[in-house]
Amino acid sequence: MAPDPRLLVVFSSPEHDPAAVVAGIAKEAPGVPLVGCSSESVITPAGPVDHGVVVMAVGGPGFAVATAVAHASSGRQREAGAEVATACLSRAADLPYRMLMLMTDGFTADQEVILAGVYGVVGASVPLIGGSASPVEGKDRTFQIHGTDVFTDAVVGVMLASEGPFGVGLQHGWRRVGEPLIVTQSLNGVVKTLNDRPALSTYLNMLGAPALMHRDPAAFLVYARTRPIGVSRRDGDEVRDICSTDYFEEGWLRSSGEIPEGGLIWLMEGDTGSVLDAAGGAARDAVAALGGHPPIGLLAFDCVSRRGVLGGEGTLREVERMTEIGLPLAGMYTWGEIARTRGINGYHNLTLAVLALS
Amino acid sequence: MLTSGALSNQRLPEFLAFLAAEKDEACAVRVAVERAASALEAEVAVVREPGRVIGSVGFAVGKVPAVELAEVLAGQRRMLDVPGAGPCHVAVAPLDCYPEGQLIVARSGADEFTVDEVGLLRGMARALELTLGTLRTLAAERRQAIENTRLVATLQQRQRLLEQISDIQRAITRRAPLQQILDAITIGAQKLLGDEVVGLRMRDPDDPNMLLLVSSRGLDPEQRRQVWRVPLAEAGPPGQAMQRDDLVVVQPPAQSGAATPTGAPLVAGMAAPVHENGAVVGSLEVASLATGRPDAVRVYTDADQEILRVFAEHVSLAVTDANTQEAMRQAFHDPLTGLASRRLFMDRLEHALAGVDRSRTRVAVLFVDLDRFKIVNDSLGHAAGDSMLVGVADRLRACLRDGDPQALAGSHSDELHGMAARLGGDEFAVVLAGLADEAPAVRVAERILESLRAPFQIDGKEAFVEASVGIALDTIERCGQTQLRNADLAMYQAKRNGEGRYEIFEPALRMAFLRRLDLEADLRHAVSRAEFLLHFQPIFELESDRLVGVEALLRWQHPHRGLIAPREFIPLAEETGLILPIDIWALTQACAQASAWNRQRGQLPPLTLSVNLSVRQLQRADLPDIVARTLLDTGFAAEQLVLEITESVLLHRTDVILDRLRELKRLRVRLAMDDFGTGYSSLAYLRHLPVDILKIDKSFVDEITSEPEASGLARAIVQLGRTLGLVTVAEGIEALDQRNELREAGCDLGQGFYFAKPLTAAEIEPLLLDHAGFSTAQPPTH
Repeated sequence: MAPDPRLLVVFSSPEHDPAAVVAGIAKEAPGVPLVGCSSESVITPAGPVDHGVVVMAVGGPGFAVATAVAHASSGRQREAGAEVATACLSRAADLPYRMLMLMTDGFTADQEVILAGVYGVVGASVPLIGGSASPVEGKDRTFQIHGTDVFTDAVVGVMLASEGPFGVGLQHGWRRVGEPLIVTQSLNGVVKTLNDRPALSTYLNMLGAPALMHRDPAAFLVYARTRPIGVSRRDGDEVRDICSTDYFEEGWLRSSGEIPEGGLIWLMEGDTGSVLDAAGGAARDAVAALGGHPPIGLLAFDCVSRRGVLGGEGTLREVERMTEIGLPLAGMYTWGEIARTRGINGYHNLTLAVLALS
Repeated sequence: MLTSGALSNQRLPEFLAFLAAEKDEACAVRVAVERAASALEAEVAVVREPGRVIGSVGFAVGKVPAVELAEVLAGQRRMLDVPGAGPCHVAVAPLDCYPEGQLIVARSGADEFTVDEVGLLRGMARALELTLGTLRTLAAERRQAIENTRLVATLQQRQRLLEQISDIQRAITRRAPLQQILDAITIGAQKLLGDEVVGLRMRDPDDPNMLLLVSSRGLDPEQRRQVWRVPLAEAGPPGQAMQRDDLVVVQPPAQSGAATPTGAPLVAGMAAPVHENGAVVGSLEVASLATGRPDAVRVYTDADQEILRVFAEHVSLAVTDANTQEAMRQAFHDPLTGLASRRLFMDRLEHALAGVDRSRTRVAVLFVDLDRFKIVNDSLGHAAGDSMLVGVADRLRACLRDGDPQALAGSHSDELHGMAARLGGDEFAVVLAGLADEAPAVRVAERILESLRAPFQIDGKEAFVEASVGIALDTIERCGQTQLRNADLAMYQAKRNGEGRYEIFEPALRMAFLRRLDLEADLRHAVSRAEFLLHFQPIFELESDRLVGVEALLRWQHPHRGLIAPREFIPLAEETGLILPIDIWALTQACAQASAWNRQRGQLPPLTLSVNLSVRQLQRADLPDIVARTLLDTGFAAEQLVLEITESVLLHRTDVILDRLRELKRLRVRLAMDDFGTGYSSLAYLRHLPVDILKIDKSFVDEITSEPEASGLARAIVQLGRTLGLVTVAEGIEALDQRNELREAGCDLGQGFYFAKPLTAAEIEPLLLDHAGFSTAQPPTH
């Protein structure tokens, strides 16, 4: 344990008893603020570990934290985000640099509304980082950790304040395929039509998908996992996961992120090379954003679906790309990544967000 | 690069849909600022009026910098400092639902807001005004209902009708057909306001001074027919509303002379302007007729006027949205063929190039240009030409779509990504990404060439076209423009090499192209600087070895490169059209020179003069006039002039060319078919061509003494000439045995180095004026 820990960030595979995990950690560092969440597999400096637990301790002089939790966020996403942000902001230490780290439940709908609640309180004054907790594959439960308490459907926030800056790197490695499509009917992440035609079949036809994908929701899920769509933004394409069969029968697509009506989208593709390059790029971007201050560690929020492209060997190499810089690393596999340094939108899919600490 | 900004107006329906879901003013304002910031990718959005921030996002709670904001709005500072985001550019739109209200967004980064984005912000402000207006009306009516239960029925009715506005908004959002939306608006306005007649008039696109009735209620078909198109100046309230760009109300009895579109006396009416992107494009009117309510006096309250404004604004939204969507489709797709436009093609290409390093694959561009498409257009008409372009586009799509594994084998990834585009005219392009090497691109090019060779069915007739394809792979600089230009150059080379084929770009092509450009520039100067000169080669009667004529041959005395042979510059001159003045110069000079020689020859038989004519020259309708005038000016006898044409004339519009040749014949000049046997010889055509002389190509003469087959061909041509009653001339005779062989075969005339090489006028003159004639018994001059 480092000599002066001020915060412990824990990511734990969901099959472990979370209460036992936090009790064990708290015993080693009594009184130190503890936040975290479940992660399908955890990221350690040695690579991804299934059924593992990873803890990162951050501390030392010139570093302070304020944590908060909001329960039962479903149905009151905006309020939950605002509560956590208000509590963290009101107790934030008066240090030159701040960063609000958030952990949410991946099963909670409308994650962007949680972020809207947070942004409504902190505005552009505090950048955001974090991710949505992921379950064991096939299960329907995640957990979030605040102190020694364990929740589901919660929003956990921690305001990091420091004398040194924080850096955020965000890359995805996906690229456009084919012609753009116009989102002709869409609301709240449900895309009904593209180019005035039913969205799901238009998407599959553009990709030349086998007929099975039009009929079999399970096959569609596997197929769509590595074939997201991109929304055109000023800073490049934002990737949107459409791996959902909520509206399969209706012939619509559903994304966990917003897909603006009237906007252009592209079908996206990635390969092992591009996704791996993005990993190294995100880590380097995060360090570069420190503006020359020496980095001390990295926290990674990496989308679960990227593992689908990379496979087991590729996932290991992805972590190697992030550790090439030679910094301590911990991280999680998310069901949605949070990173806002510019503009109002901070929710991402199929992307890797890296936080560099200095 | 396409950005979300390119679609600004497209974002309005979604914005409207979000606002329509809100139940009260505070929520609507909050959603408006969040959505405005999101759509414009801004950190901050604010709704304010002087002295009060009504709603904001992007500042920490309670930290809105009201003073700095006011300074920016007053123009006292350019950028707004937003904590956490730094200096931000600001865009402002007026918001009339608050006194001096404004919708403001602020964004970090170097790029300022574009005109499109400011337009979107204005549209959002207007949508917020409409929504707040509706919500306030609802709220006011609710208050009124509480105060007076008698109004409950009215409220319910009005609420139902206001819900109709939501339906209209949804119809716009859904992108229902424009006519359906406009009809829903006129129906809604009639129900809500209760007037007998509602009309929506829009400017006639063909004549902005006329108005077209695009939707109406309360008019029977005959009435609609009478007023469907009226001059703006005579349209009454609708015309006035458009001219003033404001709502116009006509109340009795002041406008007693006013009449409705039906011609019936008007009791009262009002009209509100309709806008598209800020410009007045039409007017929505309601009218109350004397016949409808003889005793009633219709008075339009402020609420009525506001309702008409709201409906008119919805027309504006629907029209703007429909036109924007159409414009956007057109920007990305070629309207005729539906293929990608140049813009989309370049975007796709640049993206493909951006991934080349990472994927370690190649990107190929195929530049496809139809060969002689102009002939289809000229002979069958532009509609047929368009049909053919559509057919070509379909085949290009099929070439890329058909997953023929053999054709696409060699692509690096599982799928070879291809897209076809129409660049304009008869130019198409294909981009192929994910290639391991050039082989798949070549196979696609071959497929394209093969697929275009099949006949096209146009108006029940078969039409044929071929294409030339240039292939270029990505270069080190990864520049789409360069790659497209390289493919264009390769296509150009393919055309030069014979059309209906493909060529792959090599750097040497560009060098050759640059050299060609230099040569073209020099050639243009050469015309004005008189750098051309004529050489003359004598023509002999083979039977007697008597000199009977000369062929004038053009040479270019380049100031730096020396003497340039015709084969190096004539094709270029033909392509650029410079051949026209050059040929005329040559004809005039040659005739003048030959005329002088014939005068000097005195009693000797006059020399014939052969001059080459390009196909371009033959396409000129005034060629016979030019020749006639030249003969007149130079005094050269028409019957001594031989104009040489090549077989390539048969490739062009034969009927026109034939007419031209016949006109020349009427001048009594003679025509020779040059290089006979090498090109597109067709006996059928030869019979119809009014030629007098066949010139046997040098290639047959070269081998006449060594190759029995060539000898046979040469003899056959001579025989053919005799059969058709034509004089035969052998070109390129270099040896005595060749001359003997040809003489024996019955060939009439000959020329070549055996007799004399082409000479300058001064060099050849002694031979021409030699009264003894020139005989091969004497050693030839070389």
